[in-house]
Amino acid sequence: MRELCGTCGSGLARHGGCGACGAVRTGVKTAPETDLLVAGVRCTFPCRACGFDSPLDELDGDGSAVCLKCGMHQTFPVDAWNAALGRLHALADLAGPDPEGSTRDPRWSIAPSGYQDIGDTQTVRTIEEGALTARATPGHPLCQQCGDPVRIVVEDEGMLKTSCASCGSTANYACQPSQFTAPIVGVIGQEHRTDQADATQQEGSFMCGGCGGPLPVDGLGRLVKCRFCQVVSRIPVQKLQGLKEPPPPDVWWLVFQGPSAERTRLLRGAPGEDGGGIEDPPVVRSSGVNIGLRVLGPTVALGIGGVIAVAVWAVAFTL
Amino acid sequence: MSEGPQQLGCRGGSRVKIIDFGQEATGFIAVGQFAVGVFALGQVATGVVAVGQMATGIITIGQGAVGFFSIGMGGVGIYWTGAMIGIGGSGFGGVIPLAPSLGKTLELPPTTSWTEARHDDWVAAELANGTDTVVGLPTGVRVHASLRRVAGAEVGPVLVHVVDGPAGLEVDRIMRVPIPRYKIPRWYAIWAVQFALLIAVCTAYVGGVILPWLQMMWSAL
Repeated sequence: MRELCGTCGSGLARHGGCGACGAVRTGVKTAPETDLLVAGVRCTFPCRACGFDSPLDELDGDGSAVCLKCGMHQTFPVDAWNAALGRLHALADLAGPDPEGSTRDPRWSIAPSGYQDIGDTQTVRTIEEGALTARATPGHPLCQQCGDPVRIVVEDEGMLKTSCASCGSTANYACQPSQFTAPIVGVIGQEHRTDQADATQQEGSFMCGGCGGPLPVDGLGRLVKCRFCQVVSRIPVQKLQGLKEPPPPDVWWLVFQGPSAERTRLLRGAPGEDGGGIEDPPVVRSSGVNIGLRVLGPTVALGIGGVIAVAVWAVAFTL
Repeated sequence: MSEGPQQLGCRGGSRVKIIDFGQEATGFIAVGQFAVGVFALGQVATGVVAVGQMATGIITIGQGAVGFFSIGMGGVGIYWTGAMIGIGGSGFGGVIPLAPSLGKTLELPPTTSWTEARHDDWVAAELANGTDTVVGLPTGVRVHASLRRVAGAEVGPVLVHVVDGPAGLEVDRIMRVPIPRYKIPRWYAIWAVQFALLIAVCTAYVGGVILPWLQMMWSAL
């Protein structure tokens, strides 16, 4: 069973703290039993204008991204997402602590899969595809209220609902999986949440989506509770451009279902890192008997052949 | 033939030179374009030890070498030859071996039974046609998936190497159990062809190299 960081929900290595958020190993949670495969990511891309590694806190296949520092809209190919999602699916499926990942085939072993160190000796793997850099980890999202792992329910294509068994809080998320080739079933992240009012922005200040009162926004938290009406408003990441310091990349979760393409490839018998083939037994070289046989065989054959050859010529001369 | 300072006494007063140089050299040691001797070095060299562009004799080294032992780009070695392209009793390189052989002696590792198999043991098993795995594995013993394609591509007895895996014993290596050549009928046909060719090459070697060399040496005495 995977152990989770009590702070961020990343899958912990067997020893040490969380390599994703830096938290010490305290308040460790246990990932719930589920047939879903979950990978947490912190994504960035380098802005073509200012060079800043801007956070990419949502899964959007519209082919563009916005730099949170300079505000420049720029192209961001969906291919980068598709390639990265395949690897993220593999990471969620094959990461340790079990050397074979989330499941074991009853007949075939696939360890080492190349991902077995994640969740065993490491917490995070950096995946780079095109302009995208994703610091990814297996794990499970935690309840934003009480910090316990949430239960994830797939409600419809791209629609997820999370519920916390401890405090009862729920959240709804939506994305468009059809934009991508990977078998993603949903995304859990603030930018994909659908059940909270967005904060509005007026003259550079953020206003509560419920009562319109001013909100204290520092860029670090994307959910801000109104001190007047107690409604929690979501701060869309694109609206954080005006802040002095761009916010750090948020942790969000990609939810997959079914075996990854990498697992399928390994199970089909693609040669592993060490190759795979039927060996021949080693040749005996040092045995005296063997050397004798190797010399004796040709010698006897040649002796017989030579005698016959000489006999042929003797007969030829005689005749 | 040039006159050499040292000569060997022979029957009837005829002499064979110890060392002979020249266009056509014949001697105990002969160096020339056409060299015949015990030690012959030349473009066309014939001798017990012959080195030349075309060397014939017993021990021969040359671009083309025909001998009992020969080394050359193209070689015929009755007993052994090392050649890029060659034919001979046995040899090294691109040589067609003519001496029937039982093949290399292979050493199989010691085996154990499935009931006693532990980490790093070898167990006898079988690959069968139409399956993609090892036949008769006990329940719970898995095979590494990297062997799946090769396991499905071969048939016959094998040894499998087992190691401790995360879910019990796993097969991580497969080794062929070679069938001795004498149990394969095809090899008898190959040996017959090899032996017939060996006799033919021997006959040609005696008639084309040994007898002419003896004749030339005899006439020089």
